[in-house]
Amino acid sequence: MENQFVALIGEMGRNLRNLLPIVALVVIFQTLVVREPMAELELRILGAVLALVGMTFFIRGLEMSIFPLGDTMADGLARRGSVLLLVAFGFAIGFGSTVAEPALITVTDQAAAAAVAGSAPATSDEIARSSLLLRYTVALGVGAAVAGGVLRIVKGWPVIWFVLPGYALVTVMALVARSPESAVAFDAGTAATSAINIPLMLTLGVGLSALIRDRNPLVDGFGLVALASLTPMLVIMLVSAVA
Amino acid sequence: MAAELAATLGWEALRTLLDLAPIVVLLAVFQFGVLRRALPHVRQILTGLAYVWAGLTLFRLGITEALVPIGRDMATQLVEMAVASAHGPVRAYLPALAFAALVGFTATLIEPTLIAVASRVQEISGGTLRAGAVRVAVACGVAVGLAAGTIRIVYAVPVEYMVAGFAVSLIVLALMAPRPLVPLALDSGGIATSVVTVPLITAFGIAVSEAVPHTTSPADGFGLVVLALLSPMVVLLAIALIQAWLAGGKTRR
Repeated sequence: MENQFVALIGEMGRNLRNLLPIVALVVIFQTLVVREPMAELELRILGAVLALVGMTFFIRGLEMSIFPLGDTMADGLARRGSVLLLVAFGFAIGFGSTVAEPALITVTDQAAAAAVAGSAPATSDEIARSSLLLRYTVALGVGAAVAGGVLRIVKGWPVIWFVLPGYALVTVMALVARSPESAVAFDAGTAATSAINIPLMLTLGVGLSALIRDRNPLVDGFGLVALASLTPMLVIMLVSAVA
Repeated sequence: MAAELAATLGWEALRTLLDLAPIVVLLAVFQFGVLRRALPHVRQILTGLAYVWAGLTLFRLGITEALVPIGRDMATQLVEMAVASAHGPVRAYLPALAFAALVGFTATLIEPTLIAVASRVQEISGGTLRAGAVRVAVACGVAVGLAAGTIRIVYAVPVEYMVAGFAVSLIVLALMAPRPLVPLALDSGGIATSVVTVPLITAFGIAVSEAVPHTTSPADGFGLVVLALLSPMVVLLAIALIQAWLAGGKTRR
C-alpha cells in the first residue's frame, strides 16, 4: 500500500511534465498577447491541479483494471475457439458504449429536429421518437462495425478495405447533400469512442492478434477504434440521405 | 462557487459512470456468464476501476473548470483583436491561428487515453515505436486539424471541402504508406479525440464562430472535431511515409 502511494506520487511528477507545455502556452499568450489578468484565476489553477491528480489516477486505474481485463477476455474468448462468441462480444462493446453516450444524444436530437422540421409540421413527440430511433440505429451500426472489426482480425482482412471506402462514401455524401447538418453528423464521429472503450478495444484487438497464429499485433490488432469512429457519421448521413 | 463546483463534480461523476457502467456490466456478463471462469486479481481490478472512475471524473472536472474556459476566452479575445486589427485578413488572424495550432498540440499531450495507449504501443512494438514520439506525432496532427478548422470558420470554407481534402489525402497516403503502420495511424484519430480535445475544441469552435462577424448559424462552429479526428491519421501516415522514404534512400546508397 505504501509502495503504491509512492508510485502514484512518482507518476504525478511525470504527468506534471506533460502539463507544462500547455501551462507555458497559456501564460505566454496571456502575458504577451492578451495582456490582461486572467478571469477567475484561482478556479483555473484548481482545475489544473484536479486535472493532474485525475490524470494520474485514471492512467494508473486503466493499467490495473481495463488493460488486464481486456487481456483476460481476449484470452478466454480465443480459447473457447468460437468466432461467433468473439463477434458477439465485439458487437456488445460497440453497442453498449455508444447507446447511452451523452454526446450522441445531443447530436441525434439536433439531427432529428432538422430532419423532422424539413418534412412536415413537427411535434416534440415526433422529434423525440425519431431521435431515439436514430440513436439506436447509430449504436447498432457501431456494434456491427466493432463486430466486423473482430471478425477482420480473425480472418486477417486488411483494415483499409473497410475504413477507406467508408471515408470515401462519407465525403461523397457530404459533397452531394451540401447541408448544414453534415457538420453535425461529422462531429458525431467521436460519439462511439470513449476514454474507457478505446483502451478496451485496443487490448482486445492486440490480445486476439497475439493469440491467433500468423497475426502481428501491430498490423492486425489496431483498427477497431478506426471503425468505431467512422460508423456514427456514416450511419447518420445514410439515414438523412434516405429520409 | 463551491456549490457550482459540486454540481459540476456530480455531473462529471455521472457521465463517467455512464461510460464505465456498460463496459463493466458487459465484461462481468461475459466473464462469469459465458466463460464461467473466476477472475484473477479481483481486488486489484476493483481498485483499478475505482481509480478510473475517480480519476476520469476529477480530470474532466479540471478540464471543464480550467482548460475549456481558458481556451474559449482566449479564442474570443484573439478573434476580437483580429477583427479590430488594421492588418489584412491573413496577418490579422495569425495570432488566433497560431494559438489554435499550439493549443491543439499541447492539449493532446495531456490526453490521458493517448498517454496510456502510447505506452502500450511502445510495449507491443518491442520499443521500435517510442511512446513519446507517437504522442508528439498525434499532437502535430491535432494541431493541423484545429488550425484547419479555425481557418474554415474564419474564412467561411464549407466543412465538406475541408473534410474532402483530408479524406482524399487519407486514402492516398494509406495506400502508399508502409503497411504495418497503417492500422495504428487509422486508430490515432479516435484516440486523439477523447477527454481533453473534444470539449476544448467544441468550446473553441463556438467561441471563434461567435466572434467572427460573418458567421450566421451555430452550425458554423461544428466541423472542428471531425478535422481533429482526420488530421492525426493523415499526419501519422505522412510521417510513416517520409520515414520509410528516408530509410529506403539510405539502404539504396
